[in-house]
Amino acid sequence: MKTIELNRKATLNKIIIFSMILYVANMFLPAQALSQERAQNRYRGGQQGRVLNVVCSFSDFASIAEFIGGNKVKVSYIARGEQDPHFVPPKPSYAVMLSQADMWISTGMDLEMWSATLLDKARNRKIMDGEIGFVSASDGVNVVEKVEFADRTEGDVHLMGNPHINTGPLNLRIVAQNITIGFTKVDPANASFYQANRDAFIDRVDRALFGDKLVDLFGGNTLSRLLENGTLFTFLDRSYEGGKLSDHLGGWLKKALPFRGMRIITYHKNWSYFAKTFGLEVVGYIEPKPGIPPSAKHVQSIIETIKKQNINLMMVASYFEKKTAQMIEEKTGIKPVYLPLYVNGIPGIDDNFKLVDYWIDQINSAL
Amino acid sequence: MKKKLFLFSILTAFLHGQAASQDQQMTVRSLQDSLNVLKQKMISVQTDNIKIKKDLDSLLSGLRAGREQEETDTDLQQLLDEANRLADKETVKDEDQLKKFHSGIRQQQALNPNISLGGDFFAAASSSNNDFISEPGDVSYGNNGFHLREMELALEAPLDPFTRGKTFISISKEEISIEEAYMEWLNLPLHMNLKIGVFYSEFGPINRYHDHALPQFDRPRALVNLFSNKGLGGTGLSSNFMLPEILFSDASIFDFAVVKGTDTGDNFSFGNQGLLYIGQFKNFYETSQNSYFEVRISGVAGRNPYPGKNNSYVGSLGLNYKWVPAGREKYRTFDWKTEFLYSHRHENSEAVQSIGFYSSVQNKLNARFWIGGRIGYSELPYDNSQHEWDYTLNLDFWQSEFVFTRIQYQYNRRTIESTIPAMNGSLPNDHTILLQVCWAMGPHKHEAY
Repeated sequence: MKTIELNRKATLNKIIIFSMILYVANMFLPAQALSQERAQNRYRGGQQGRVLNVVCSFSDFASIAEFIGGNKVKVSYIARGEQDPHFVPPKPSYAVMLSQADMWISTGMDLEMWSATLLDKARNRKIMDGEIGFVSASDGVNVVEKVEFADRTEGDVHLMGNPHINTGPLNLRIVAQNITIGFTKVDPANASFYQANRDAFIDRVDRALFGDKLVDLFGGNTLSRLLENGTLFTFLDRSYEGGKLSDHLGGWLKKALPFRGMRIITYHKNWSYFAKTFGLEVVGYIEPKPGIPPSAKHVQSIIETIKKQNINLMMVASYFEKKTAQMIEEKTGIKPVYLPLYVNGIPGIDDNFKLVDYWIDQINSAL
Repeated sequence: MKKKLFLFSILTAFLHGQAASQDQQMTVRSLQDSLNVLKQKMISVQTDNIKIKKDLDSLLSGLRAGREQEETDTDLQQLLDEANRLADKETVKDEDQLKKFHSGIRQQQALNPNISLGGDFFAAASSSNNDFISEPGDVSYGNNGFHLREMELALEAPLDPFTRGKTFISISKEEISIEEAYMEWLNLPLHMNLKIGVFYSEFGPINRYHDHALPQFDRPRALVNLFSNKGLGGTGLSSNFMLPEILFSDASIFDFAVVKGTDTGDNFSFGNQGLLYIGQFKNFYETSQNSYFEVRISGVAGRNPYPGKNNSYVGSLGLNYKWVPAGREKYRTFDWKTEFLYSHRHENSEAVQSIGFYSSVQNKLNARFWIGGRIGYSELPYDNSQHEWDYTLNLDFWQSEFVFTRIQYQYNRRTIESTIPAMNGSLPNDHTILLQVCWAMGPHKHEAY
């Protein structure tokens, strides 16, 4: 009996020693992983016939990445166009996608919280935060609604500010710039290709936003800065060629003039950047606080606000429930517009330009 | 002679006239030529004049256009200057004598781990009205009264560029225990990770869930009767591999762990006498854009608490179907989890084989309400003649992502002898109503993934 016990202890000791050896061996694995990372990061990008595998958190970034990357990239994305990017189930198949990615593009703010789980499971070091294959699309964006005093009395707050940057056309220029930086880092051999496409993309955004004439006269950068700091329309009031500069305004800003200055209701803080660009004033939200479903009391207060302030327009991202918005519509006569928030949110809207066009057209037709 | 002179003079005069006429003609011709030359000169001058006029006009219009352009350029330049001035408009903060400068050397709190504290409160009323069957980790949560099941303190942070650390400390009225505490290398070669510390093992669909994240208030009896309320886990090593897709799957994952078991008493499949070897193979299938299906085959082997050198082996087949409609995920989700368990336990020369299963569903009705239910059957690992059925219905109300309330009805039908002397006989069947309230402070929510 004693011998059996001794044998058992010996076996147990062997297993423990084996485990310890395994652990010590593992201490060298990070070094090995580093060396592997360096090998990977010397990069497959730029090699003859090599196409970069780019994964984006959602379709808006994918659309821009495709424009800039052209035939040198293969782009896929996780959250579908009609999906709420706050709530994406982190499926193992997404981890597989990320495990094979050369580049991961996300907002870089606290929007895609599910991505942390996927990145942990993907085991792909080069796309982790701070690594060569990660692009934070929001870097450099003038973020609105930054939280000064973070606590949950304000609901599901985003600590880094409003992450719905895709609704601001000016932000598309910055996102394009960030994606180009990412591409040139992982594929420096094709840097000039990406930069030329970036310039073409930004020019297209400028012309789509301001119209050709103003862009030819003043350049997109100046106009963008004016729009960003809120002085564009003051400037456009200046005389020029017997008229006013505003006579030469074109693009989305001209199309959006009918609703410029209008006060509106939205469901969630999705439209803050859009409202800033096109001069809308958001006076209330159907959600009482971000992420908190509307209560009857809050809905009643919104109805009263709409009636008192004679609000005529309500913007709702199409992934929100429509019942509350419809009830508010019935009680106040306010015109709701249900809009896809992302590229490919509805068939045919397959790039950022069509998406902004669609938003403005839908709002105009609701007026 | 006179006649001759006369004729001569006439001839002379004629000749002279002829000559004079010829001279006149010559003069006329000459004049005409001069006139022609003059005319040509005049035409030439006129042409030159026209050209000069044109040049002059062109020059004048050029000058005029230049002046206009200059004026326009000046206007445009002024506008551009103004545009740039407006574009560069920034809020300039006044620097003053009261400005203070700070050093960051003592302000390192940004490097603190993410700290969260979760509460799990419940009230229960049981028809058996017997607190003996209510010890956590023993048989049931049939307690009558109000209880704080646990406070869970969660600490999570990267340790360095290669590793992460996570710790979950469970604090209850009776004890403070480490629920999980591990560090993890995430990005090792071959798409592998390595974890060391105390952790729940990957075994079936819900073994790894912390209590507050369970689809119902309690763990299924089929798991509790095998592994106790503490679940299957312990102190040791664990690794996870992402495999090439097998059997037409969209992802294949293999998990392997060696742990020293947890002390759970004598009535469960494993104790803390030796090492447990745990493995799980998981295949993941995207059945549609809105749904997926997972199959897990899991197994664990190790020493059981029966005196002597006796092993237990538990195998499991886990199935999980989840439907999350894209664009409606905030309002609709359906989640079905089922696990079949088989236990083989040696007791010296004898072997006890027992089975169990549970099937749990959760259905999200709208943004706030979930309805769920579970049915389960379980034979005790040391005596398969003792068994129990459990039936559960629950309604959850999520007031936000951080606070939810659950009402649960549970019926347990038992054929189980009591191991507690005071119980004096078999455990009773009981109906239980539970009210659970869970809350989370900090970044760690009630997430189930």
